Amino acid sequence: MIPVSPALLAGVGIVLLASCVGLALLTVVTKVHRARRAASRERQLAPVRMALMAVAAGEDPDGVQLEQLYAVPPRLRDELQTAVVALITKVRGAPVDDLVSILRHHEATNRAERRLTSRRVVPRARAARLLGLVGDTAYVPSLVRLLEDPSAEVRIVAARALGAVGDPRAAAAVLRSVRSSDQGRPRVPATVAADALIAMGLGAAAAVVEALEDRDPGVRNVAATVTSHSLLRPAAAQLRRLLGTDPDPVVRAGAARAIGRMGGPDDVPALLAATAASEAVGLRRTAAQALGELGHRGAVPGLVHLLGDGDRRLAEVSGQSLGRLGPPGLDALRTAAEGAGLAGRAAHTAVALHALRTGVEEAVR
Amino acid sequence: MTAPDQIDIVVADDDEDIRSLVEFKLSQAGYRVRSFADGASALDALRERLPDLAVLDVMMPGLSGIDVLRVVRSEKGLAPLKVILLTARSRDSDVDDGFSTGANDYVIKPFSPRELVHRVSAVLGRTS
Repeated sequence: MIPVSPALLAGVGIVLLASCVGLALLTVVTKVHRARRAASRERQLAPVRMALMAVAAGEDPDGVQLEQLYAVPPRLRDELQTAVVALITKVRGAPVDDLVSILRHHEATNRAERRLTSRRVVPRARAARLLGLVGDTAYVPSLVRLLEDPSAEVRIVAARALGAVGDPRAAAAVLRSVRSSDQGRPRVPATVAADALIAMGLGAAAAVVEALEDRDPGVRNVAATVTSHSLLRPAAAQLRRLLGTDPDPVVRAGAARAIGRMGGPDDVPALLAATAASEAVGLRRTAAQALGELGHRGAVPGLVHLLGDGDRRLAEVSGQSLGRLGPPGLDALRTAAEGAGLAGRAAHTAVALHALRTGVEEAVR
Repeated sequence: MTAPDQIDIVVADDDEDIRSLVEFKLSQAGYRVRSFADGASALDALRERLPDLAVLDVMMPGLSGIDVLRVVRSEKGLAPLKVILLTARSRDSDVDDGFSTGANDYVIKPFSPRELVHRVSAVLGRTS
């Protein structure tokens, strides 16, 4: 053991304590500053607060309140913009158009477009968010350029903004943005890109189907995920090919998950093949889960076989999937539960879980 | 049928914008509205005077909307209260949780204020 002098320990303790106190003070000061700023905004906007509420609530049939908000003096412009942006994210329907018109009237969109090239990260990200909320396809090229931004935060905001605009012409760019950077990390996280693509709807189908063949596994995985959400039936053949032959097991698992959601009885053999002992652990478990989601009785023998697998998580997932196959799956589970060994125990647990779940559901009903 | 101005509604949401918006819209529709920024205050208000309906945000500091709903359904005096959950939690499992806890309706944010009024009317058994 290395000897440590009491003086050094005391010094380290004092430094730690001082750091904690400093952090606590910083937190308090930041919170007070934010609260004061919000109160100040509230005070300044008080005269038009009711007009803003009326517009956001859709209670301005003759446009009188809207005119009052258009007439807000330039010195209150930024405060009004902050309040309007906050409300746009909370309501939907016709009031959103009126709130957007306030931003346009006060040239917030023009300012935002200029700020997209700001040297600071926060103004660029805020500008991208505002342009996304406005939902005007005219800003799509600017937002697509931002997918190449050096800041990860800005790229994420830009992808979300493109999803909010919902223009499918940006789909290919969003998919490309998932490709790994030089550091091996995706430039835009897969979940963010997938959400944006789903928001673009069926118009994004062609780009998504093409991306199933992309050289980057991250892009193929996102495309596979989106496919199941977008009801892209024409892409089912590519999904099956990904499940069977893609070199990346993560992509194959993504394809298995998608097939579980949108596939049919013909997909049972391919999913069962993906549960083979020679396959990657994650793929085997996902495929077993997908068989339950698919809900076809043809999967029963294969899933029963997996109850005795050495991977106990796989056995557990297989038991749950059998429970989702209705009477054929439940009968097989009950029969297996009478046996001994690993398979019997896994089946017994699955039967108990199923009974518990059904009991709870019935009790709730 | 009861006139709207005799119908009492409690609104609880920690987001001031949403609280103000819901209060404004329901007041414009003629309802009497009491609004609160957290679940505990809303629960106190429910016990003090039982309203006809409560619009509860799910994610609030302290007592969540689901917590309040659970108490409402377990207390004899509060159990008849009609409750609409207004929340950003939009997954199927969240909606299931809301209804299985005893919500009469579930509205997802961002929401349409006009639609909310229709939902309130429907839950109260009125034609809007």
